[in-house]
Amino acid sequence: MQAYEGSRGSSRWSGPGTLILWSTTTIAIPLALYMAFLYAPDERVMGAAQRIFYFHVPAAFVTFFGAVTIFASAVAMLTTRAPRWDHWTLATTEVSWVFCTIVLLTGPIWAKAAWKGRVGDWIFDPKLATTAILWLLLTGALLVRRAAASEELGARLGAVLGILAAVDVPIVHKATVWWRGHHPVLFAPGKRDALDPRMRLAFLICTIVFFLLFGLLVALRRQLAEVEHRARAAAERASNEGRS
Amino acid sequence: MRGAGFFRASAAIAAKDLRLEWRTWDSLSSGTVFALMVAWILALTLTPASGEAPELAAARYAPSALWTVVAFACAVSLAPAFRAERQGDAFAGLLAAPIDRGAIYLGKLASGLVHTALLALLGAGATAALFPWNPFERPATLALILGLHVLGLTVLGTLFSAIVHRVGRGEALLATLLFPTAAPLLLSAVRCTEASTEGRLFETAGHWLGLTAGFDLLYLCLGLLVFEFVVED
Repeated sequence: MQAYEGSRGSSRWSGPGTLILWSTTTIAIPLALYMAFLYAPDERVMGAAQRIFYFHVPAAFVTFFGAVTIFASAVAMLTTRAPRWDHWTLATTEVSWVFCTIVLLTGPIWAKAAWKGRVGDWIFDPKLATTAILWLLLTGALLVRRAAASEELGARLGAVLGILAAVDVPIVHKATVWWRGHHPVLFAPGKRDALDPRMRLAFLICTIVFFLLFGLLVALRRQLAEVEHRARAAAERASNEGRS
Repeated sequence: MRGAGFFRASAAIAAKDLRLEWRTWDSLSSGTVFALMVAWILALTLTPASGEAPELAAARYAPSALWTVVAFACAVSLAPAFRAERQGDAFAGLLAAPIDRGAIYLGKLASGLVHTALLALLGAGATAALFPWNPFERPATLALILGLHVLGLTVLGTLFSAIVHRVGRGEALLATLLFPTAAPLLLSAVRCTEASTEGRLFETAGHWLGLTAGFDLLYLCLGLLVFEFVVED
């Protein structure tokens, strides 16, 4: 496809936006750690284990926000066929996969403390099941990308799978809620005041920091994808010139 | 492209695939043996707890066993959907034909649906034989449940089969893509089958039927839209 091979990326390796994002995130991460571990008080029932909440829930927010960004960039990629949209799709898919893994690793730690149940009690939980399935869908999209013979084919198939996965998420959630569910309802109206104000502030800051980190990682991965794309194109040109 | 031409092209592709299958029994034979093997292993391992009535245990396990069999059989029988076109680069010829790419998808979907529907019926027969459980007591509701859910599995399976074909992989990657995406379908299928054997399908599982019908329609439209991006060169 000519449009794919012929285009050039415009951004440099590290634009001023990335630099600002990078420095803000670097300052904000220690602040989030301070808020989560020292500023917020101990929870009465769960104790220190509850502090995983400041990482688990923001990671989950970021993961599902990531699914939306994958959908948007995949649709843009398939309609415009511009490589830059593929770089966005690749970056959001990979970074969302990382945050999804964080949710799946921290979830059981919190669930064990919160529900004190057997594995079977929380494995069917709707939010956990939805996250696990999203993780599998993202893994599938990355596997297909890796298996594709050319960058361009991988980009198309990755975008198609990204769209199918993002559309699936709300349906999976609905189905698992109907199947059986008992995830703690954190932000139901009327329940909001149960949270200590210090906890709420710590949670808010951790959420902002997770979004900053997501943005930074996506920006860096996107730039890396662009460099890889240009390097491949240059290598191809060189081999073509050598042959002719 | 005019509507009639679209459906005529799909019908021609489906008829070609079914004729090929009728002559070789390639995909159905492996799907049948695989479905029976999975059903047999499940019947061996899903036994009643001590003191539990076998019928009660079967009511608990048999719907899940049925849909495990159907899901695996679908993956195995849909994986070779585009294999026939690999010989002599027949797929390039199919793509060069002056027909809408969506018609190719619809044709493959139609022939795949014949395979998967037959295998689903076989799965129902196998679980009825191996568990003290009878899903055929209400044939009309069973047909509705099998039809709706197998359609959804085939809609997804045909699309993923094309993707897997493009990257030169087989059943394992197809299953990796199909099962997570089809998770809502499988949950719904088990709940509907349970409700149907209790004789209360529409009272207790009406919302599941609605979800599945919506899922089928949504993914059919998505499949028709994105198939072109999967197969183009």
